[in-house]
Amino acid sequence: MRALPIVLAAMLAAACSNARVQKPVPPRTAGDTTFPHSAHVDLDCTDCHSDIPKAERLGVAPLPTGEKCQECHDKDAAHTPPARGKREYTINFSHTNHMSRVGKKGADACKTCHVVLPEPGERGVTTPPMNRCTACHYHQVEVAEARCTPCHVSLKRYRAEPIAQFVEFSHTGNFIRKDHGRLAKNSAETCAQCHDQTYCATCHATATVPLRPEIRFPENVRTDFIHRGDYVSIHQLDAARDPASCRKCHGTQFCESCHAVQGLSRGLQNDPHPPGWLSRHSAEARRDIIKCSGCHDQGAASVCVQCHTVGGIAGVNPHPGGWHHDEGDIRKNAMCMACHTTGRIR
Amino acid sequence: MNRLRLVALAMLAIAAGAARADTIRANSTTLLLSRENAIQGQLEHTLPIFEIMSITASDVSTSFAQDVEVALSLWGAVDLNDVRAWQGGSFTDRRVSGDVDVAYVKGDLLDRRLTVRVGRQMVPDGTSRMVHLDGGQIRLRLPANFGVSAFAGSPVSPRFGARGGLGYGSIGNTRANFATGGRVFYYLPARLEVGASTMIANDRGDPSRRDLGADFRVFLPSSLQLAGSAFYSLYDERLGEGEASLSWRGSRRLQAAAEYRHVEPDLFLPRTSILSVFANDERNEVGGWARLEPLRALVLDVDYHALLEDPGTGHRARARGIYTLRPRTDVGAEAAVLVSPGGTQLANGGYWMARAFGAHGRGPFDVTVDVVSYFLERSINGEDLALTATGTVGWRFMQGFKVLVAGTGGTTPYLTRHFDVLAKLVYDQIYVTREVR
Repeated sequence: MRALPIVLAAMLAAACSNARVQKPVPPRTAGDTTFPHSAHVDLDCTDCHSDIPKAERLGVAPLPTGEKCQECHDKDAAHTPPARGKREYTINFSHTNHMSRVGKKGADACKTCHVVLPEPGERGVTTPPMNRCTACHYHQVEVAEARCTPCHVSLKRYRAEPIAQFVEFSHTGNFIRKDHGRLAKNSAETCAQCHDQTYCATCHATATVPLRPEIRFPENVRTDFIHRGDYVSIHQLDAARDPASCRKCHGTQFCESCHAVQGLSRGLQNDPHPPGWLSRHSAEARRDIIKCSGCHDQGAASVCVQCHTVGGIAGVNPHPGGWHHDEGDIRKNAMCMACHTTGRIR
Repeated sequence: MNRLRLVALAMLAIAAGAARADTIRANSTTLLLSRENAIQGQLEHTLPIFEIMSITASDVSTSFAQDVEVALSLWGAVDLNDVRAWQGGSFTDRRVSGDVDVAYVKGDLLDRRLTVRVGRQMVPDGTSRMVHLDGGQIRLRLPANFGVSAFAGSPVSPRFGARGGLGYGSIGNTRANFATGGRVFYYLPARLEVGASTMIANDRGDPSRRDLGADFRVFLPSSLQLAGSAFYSLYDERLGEGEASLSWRGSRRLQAAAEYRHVEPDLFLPRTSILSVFANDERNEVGGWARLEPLRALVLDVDYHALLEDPGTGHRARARGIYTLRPRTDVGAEAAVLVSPGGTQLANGGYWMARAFGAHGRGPFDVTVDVVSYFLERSINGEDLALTATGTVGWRFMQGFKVLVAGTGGTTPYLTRHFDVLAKLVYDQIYVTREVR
């Protein structure tokens, strides 16, 4: 496995050749066309763009060729549109679906979205902007959850920045703390529209990341980070409140290693337990065993085993009510055998 | 096995040779951090310098798959002063450290019906709990809006160390040397999503997780949405967690949700933990959140949950407001409170949090200030206040480049005075090879 990063780096180098720095991809401008739309207002759009009403995808309806022009004009250079290279699109859009639903006919149907038509020599945006889509489709839920498919095929080439018209893209509210995890359970493909896993790893690769994000990104004051400020002073309170939440990212060793460095476990140089702990520890362990695991989860070497092993000095069954594992389970599990050394219940 | 790996890797490399990426995102962060830590009452001054890199080639054109993506994220560090005693759960006695966060190849096959991802990755699906593993994942889109995903691999340990067991193998959320699982799902666009999933993890032969999960999301009329998820431990035959929320996003200026959650925390311990046999605590939370935009420039987020536990009822609440004075200039304030439901003798009590922050950007410069204070109900080392203030100055000096200096000072229960300094040079760039509209 050690060779994997090297091989991947080689693959990346190959894949990245021929790349150039991204400039914002401009929408198609009027300067791209040689066709004066304003001189043809008497025609219906589909007189020339005859394949558009049947087009279920962008790019499948070719632009009118010289033959179309020559239905009315002489065959000369002025009426022969230049060849245009094939374009690629990252939007899924069906003219068929839309033209039949806008409730208008002819050019009026097209004008619902194509408000400005391209003219030769004029500069300016003529591709319908996204707010033409949202004029009919509010897409509030989709935008709030960054559910860009199936309209957008890929958004990887755009920077993940809030869009002014769609404030929900900022993933505000409880999105970072709670909602994004809930959505990723069934909609990870949606997240992947904009974020590859190098982005997720910044926070979620808890076994390997060099720094927690609050330290790495101190300038992100608006971001709803979980461990802000001197979190170490309150981490034990949040952990007592919701230990499962900590465990969704951090395993035993994460807690225990720091506690060992601080002398809170393995030697008890700084015994954190209050006086009289021994008599109360069972109730406390029943209630919040994950807190105990922050220092005492050493398997068979755990301090718990010393007293609670079968025949040990504790002399009580430490399992909670309703415990149901039988001797078959015990003998199959090394952890059980730490106390049930003979493989028997008693 | 080594020969098999070499052949597989060679095939991948050859395949990549003919590939050309459409979009490449490259990020490099060179970061110097001067930081003080209290280790058993002694001051440790660390001065590590990090190089953190990630590069992703997306939409790669190949003859054998569509939308191929190759991603690599890794870092290295050198301690220039004291060696950091603790690095996110792993110990080191060497000045030089580093690791790989993500390294995978992903591609779509069968006319985008099948997605395959191989390498170091994370799996978010269903009840997998974002497990970080070295392995593979597939997602197959079946007819009639059904689908299935599956994964298998070895959960990640730092520095490619020993898998599973105590130690490195349990720094992440899955103590196991092998994990597998999957999810079957069905969706009706804009109406319904429902899935059933499983997660099986083995720690050197012993069961670490044996969970069944379910999740759903229903889009109701009037911009209401009902969502929920749950997992059930097959090994202990108990419900580990179940949660549901009803959210309303009917207006851009007001969104709200009501939530309920039941959790049995001990089921988040690996079943190989000796401590997993002592507890069966149950907890419940009920509450909700709201997001208001009373003014165009003002956003308020509020959140409240009642914590229903055996010792009593606790409360968790948070409020945050951000006022945007002009683009790239905003101020904010946040307050939070935790009232413990009783808790245990260890880590009992609650706290208040108050925070104020602001950001201002002009031209290539950005300045931020962030002051965070925690007021502890029960003092630590005789102190009940942790106060830290951070200021940053950033400068974007050319396209894709940014340099930033940050200073953090304050007083905490562990350090009466401390001051950390961070300096970083960030390069973040997107490259394209084709024009795509």
